[in-house]
Amino acid sequence: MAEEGSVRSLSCPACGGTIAMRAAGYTVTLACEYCGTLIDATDPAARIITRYNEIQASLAIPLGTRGTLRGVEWEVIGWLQRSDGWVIWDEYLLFNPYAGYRWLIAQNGQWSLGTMLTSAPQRDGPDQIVGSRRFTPFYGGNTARVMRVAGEFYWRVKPGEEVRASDFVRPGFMLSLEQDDREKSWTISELLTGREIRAAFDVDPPPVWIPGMTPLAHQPSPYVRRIKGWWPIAALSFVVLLVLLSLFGRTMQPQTFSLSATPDGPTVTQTFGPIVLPLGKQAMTVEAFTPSVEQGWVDIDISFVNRKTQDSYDAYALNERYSGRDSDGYWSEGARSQTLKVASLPAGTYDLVVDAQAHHWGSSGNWAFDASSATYKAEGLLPIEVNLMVARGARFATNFWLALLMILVPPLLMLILHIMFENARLAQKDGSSADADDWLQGMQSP
Amino acid sequence: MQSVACPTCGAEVVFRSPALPVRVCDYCRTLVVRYNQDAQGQVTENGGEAAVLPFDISPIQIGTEGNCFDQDFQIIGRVRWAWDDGAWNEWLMLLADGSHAWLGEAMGQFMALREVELTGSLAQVIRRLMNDTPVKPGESGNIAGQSYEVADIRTVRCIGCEGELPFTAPVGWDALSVDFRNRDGRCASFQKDRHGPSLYVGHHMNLASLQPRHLRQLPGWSLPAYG
Amino acid sequence: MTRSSFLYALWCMGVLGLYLAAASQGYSPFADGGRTAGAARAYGPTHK
Repeated sequence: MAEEGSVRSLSCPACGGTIAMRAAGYTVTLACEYCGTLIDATDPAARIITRYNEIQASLAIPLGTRGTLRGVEWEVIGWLQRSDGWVIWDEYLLFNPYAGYRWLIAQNGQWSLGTMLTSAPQRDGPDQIVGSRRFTPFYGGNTARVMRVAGEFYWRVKPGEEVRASDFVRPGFMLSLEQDDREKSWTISELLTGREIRAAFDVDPPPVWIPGMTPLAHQPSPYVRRIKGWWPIAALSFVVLLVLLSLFGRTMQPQTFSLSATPDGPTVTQTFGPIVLPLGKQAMTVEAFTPSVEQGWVDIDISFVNRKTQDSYDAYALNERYSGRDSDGYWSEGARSQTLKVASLPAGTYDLVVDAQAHHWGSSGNWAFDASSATYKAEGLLPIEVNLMVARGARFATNFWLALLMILVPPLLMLILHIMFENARLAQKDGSSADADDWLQGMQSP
Repeated sequence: MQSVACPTCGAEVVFRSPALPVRVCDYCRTLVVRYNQDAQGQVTENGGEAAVLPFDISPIQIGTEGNCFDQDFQIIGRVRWAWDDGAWNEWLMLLADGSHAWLGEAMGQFMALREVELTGSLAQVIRRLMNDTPVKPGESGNIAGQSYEVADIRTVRCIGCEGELPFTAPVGWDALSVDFRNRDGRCASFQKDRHGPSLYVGHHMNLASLQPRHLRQLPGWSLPAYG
Repeated sequence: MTRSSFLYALWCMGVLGLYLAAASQGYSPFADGGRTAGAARAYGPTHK
């Protein structure tokens, strides 16, 4: 039952010698191996060969190429290019006489393996279910038209041939319904990884998605996998961070000192000590408390001065308190206590040098002209007591928050990219706009 | 696979693909060019070229054995059907119990089908087909207690047959062929020709599930090991 | 474990390592005070 075709031999018109075929890209030269005579390009045989060669050279996978995909050896026997008016894609027909046919669908450099279904999917509302996989509607009622075709197909495909197509998706998979007035067929295509398609047919790897590119309808977000893989690491890191936070930074060996300063009086400087720091490096916590400051402020400069090296570690506190009465009643503001944390003091013996200067705010009290500073100053106010509690060690909450932020930045970045990816993917959806279910489905792993 | 004799030296030249227009003879190194329509595709009205149909390289042959409908079978005959733009095979299975069944082979997929009687209460879609009323793909109806939908409808013509057949199938015999499928892999086929309508039901299969033996050895391809 | 998870785990270990180093040295970039540039502090009146 073989269909016979007519064949003819091609030999040199000048000497009858063997013709050699040399193909370089799109052009083919047919030349006699013996006398060098070239076959005229308008010769029907040359035209047939050149035409075939042109198509072959333009294909990502030349017809006749064999490759092993998922354990089955396939030969690429046909190629067609289709368009729905918006996008153009290529479809390669794979054949193995013992395994049947499969489709390799290439769009935007991404490759999918399509298998025709022998049973109809199960309908559930707008969704379709195949086996245990649920597909949601994505493209509806488009017309797919054959633009170009070459090679063999199990039907005689012609350019211009049209089918009505609807597509349903889930991450990594697309379920396509194609129908005309003669048949209705369902195909599931599965997105192939770059590694898989490269190993089988040695094509260029699919491009990595960057913002601005349009993903395929069934392309899974590459960020979901990362977020899912990363969150246990982030959680574990957070727990470790909490442990470290509780282990380090306890305050020890508190010492208290006090001095007093008169409001608007001179700066009081006093040295306390010794403060002995036995080992390593440590932070120091200084709590400066001025219980009696009222309608005024106290500038407190503290310095830990190493007795041996005279290295100085400084900090500054401003304790203040104002109050009054207005139409809303009594008000008060300002903090009478400040906690200072001084970083990284090496072991050694230190003096604590404290400068305190108290100021009075407002018009109450007695005022007298101070000739030395040429200003009026309040007189007769009670001196303000400055209590200092100095302890070894300090717990810096800022370090904790900074570390937490740094742990969370990469997953948050992935989340933002995921949202951008899904936005770009779902923007192509036909029919009702993307809803929460579409976003939830996008979070699923293929 | 198509083999022709080299026009120059007479040696066998095998064209592995009908889409391949040229082949060098292994013996005399002459360029052998295929000039038939199928070799480079037909030029269509749109100015493009149509695809060519593959050579009929079925893995099944007369004498192939296997298991279907829970019993052993042997392939004893075949009818090849064609429609405007394609063709498929129907292989006749002789089952162990002496009955016959068909193994339809199209697009690399297999349908095992047994004839059922067209009597009793029939689905409306079948009645309409029997009365030559047009039916569309996607229409549904009950056949033998199962719900099916119409998958494809074609007017077909017998283009060849071989082996033993339960009827005489002259080449050029026209028939209407309608395929049905359902959700769990079952299928049905309705055929109407000049002898009247007939209905077959069965299920889709793949080659491996037939546990085939004595498959046709195709040059260039390795026979898969089944079972 | 994928390559990206491995890299992220490495990043987290780095962050935790930095936190540990800072905690053991009593360091914070946001401390209220620390070593003053210019070594020794001048004693005496700070007349304004």
